[in-house]
Amino acid sequence: MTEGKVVTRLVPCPAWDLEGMESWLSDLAGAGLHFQQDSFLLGFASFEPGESREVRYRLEPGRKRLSFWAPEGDIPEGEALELHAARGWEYAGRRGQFHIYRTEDPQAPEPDTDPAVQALALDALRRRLLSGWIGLCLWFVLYWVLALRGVLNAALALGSGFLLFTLLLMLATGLGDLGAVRSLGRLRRRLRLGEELSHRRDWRKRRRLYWGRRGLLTLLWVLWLALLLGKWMAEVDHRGLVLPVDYAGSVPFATLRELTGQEAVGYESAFARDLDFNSVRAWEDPLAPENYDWSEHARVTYADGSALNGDWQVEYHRMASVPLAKLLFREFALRVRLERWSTPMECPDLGLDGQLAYRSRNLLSTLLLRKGTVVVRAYAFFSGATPFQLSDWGPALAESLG
Amino acid sequence: MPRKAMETLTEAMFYVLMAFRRGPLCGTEAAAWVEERTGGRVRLGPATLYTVLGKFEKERLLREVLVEGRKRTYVLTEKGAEAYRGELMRLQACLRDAEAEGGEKA
Repeated sequence: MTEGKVVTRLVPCPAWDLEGMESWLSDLAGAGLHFQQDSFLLGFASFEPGESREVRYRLEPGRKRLSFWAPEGDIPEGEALELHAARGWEYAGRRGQFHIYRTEDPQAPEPDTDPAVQALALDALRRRLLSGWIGLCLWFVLYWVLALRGVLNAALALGSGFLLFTLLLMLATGLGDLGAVRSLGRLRRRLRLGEELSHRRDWRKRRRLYWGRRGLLTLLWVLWLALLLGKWMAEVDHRGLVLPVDYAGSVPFATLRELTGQEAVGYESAFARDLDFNSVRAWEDPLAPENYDWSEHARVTYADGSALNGDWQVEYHRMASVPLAKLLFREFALRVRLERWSTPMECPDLGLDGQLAYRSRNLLSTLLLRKGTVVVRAYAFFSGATPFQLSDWGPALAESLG
Repeated sequence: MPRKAMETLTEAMFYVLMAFRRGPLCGTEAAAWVEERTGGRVRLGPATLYTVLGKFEKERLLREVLVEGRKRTYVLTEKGAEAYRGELMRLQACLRDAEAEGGEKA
């Protein structure tokens, strides 16, 4: 090792393992590796090689939440720095919610001279971590319900496998925070019983387990990001989309051509080769074995010379069971009720298990239907000399569902 | 109503309140006074002192009156004086009970 050349080490324990962190840093100082100020990054720390020295390191919880993004930043308050400096302790950096101080002066008093007071400081941190974790859980639930318009809707949009993977990954990550809360609780109990912390603990014992867990979690998050990026790129590239004219199969609902009836003598697709206007996406999911996203723009002409311009979009889901279909229908219906700009519309009784008609924010007449395990959301806009309204196409759509 | 953790003060906390009875002080001055007063028996580490000052300010036992650079000066509030008196009475009661049990007089 060349003096002056920075050395990187993988941190062997979590930030809240105070005894482990302090012992590790002190042991490395004894081996001639001195922690470079504020050099924790992505689970690694940097050290400057030098002479072996007896250096004491101590971790102390921040009084407030420590974050680069927090208004107060992530450095200690001036008073904390002043009090420590007056006693021979210099600030060395931050890891997680802890500030790190160090001293080479054997006469410098320990920063924590009252275990009960130290327990108070850890208790405050523990409560912050717990309330942060609870807040995150609440946000998570609200996000899925409000922003993604329901769990089932999100599952069908993202894929139920991917959604489940996301949920499990977030749970595994959240459990890490809970582990910190539990560990700090145990530490606090020891301090309240008057026990002092050990600053020379064998940190080697559990490092492989820590590295294994952290490495696995990191790999899973990288995989998740790659999958998400893949989905996004697929959407940008219109992967999985086919032009209706090129679609080989048939769809279990009425297309615009079928809706407008047998009397039509001409059909001309508008923007025929443009996937932004005309497209079919068909996919399967464990929660819904058959799904379609259908978009069709066309001009239909009749024998009497009249014409109808139509914008027809259908979202079709055949769910794996009736309860799932009921749940999806309710999610869609709830979204309509929560959206201020949705206006209810009159709808004839179509004899189905569920129906809801409304005008959406882009002024499209929208019909939400459920028949058995099938849930359909259809948006339509027609213009032309002859009106073609929801009372015309609604029954035709309902009948086409079989 | 004080929180459970503050109902009984630790020795360090008690001496910090005692120090601030003398007038406005910054943390370093308070720690130095305590160490001198106790003949080195009670030493307030910087983390302990910082936690105690923070807790006392939050519980309104101390009030910040001056900030000069990194130094903050506090004064004891009425609530802090009351907490000190309460703890003093408790300690005196403990001492009386101990002496009544045949312990050595202090």
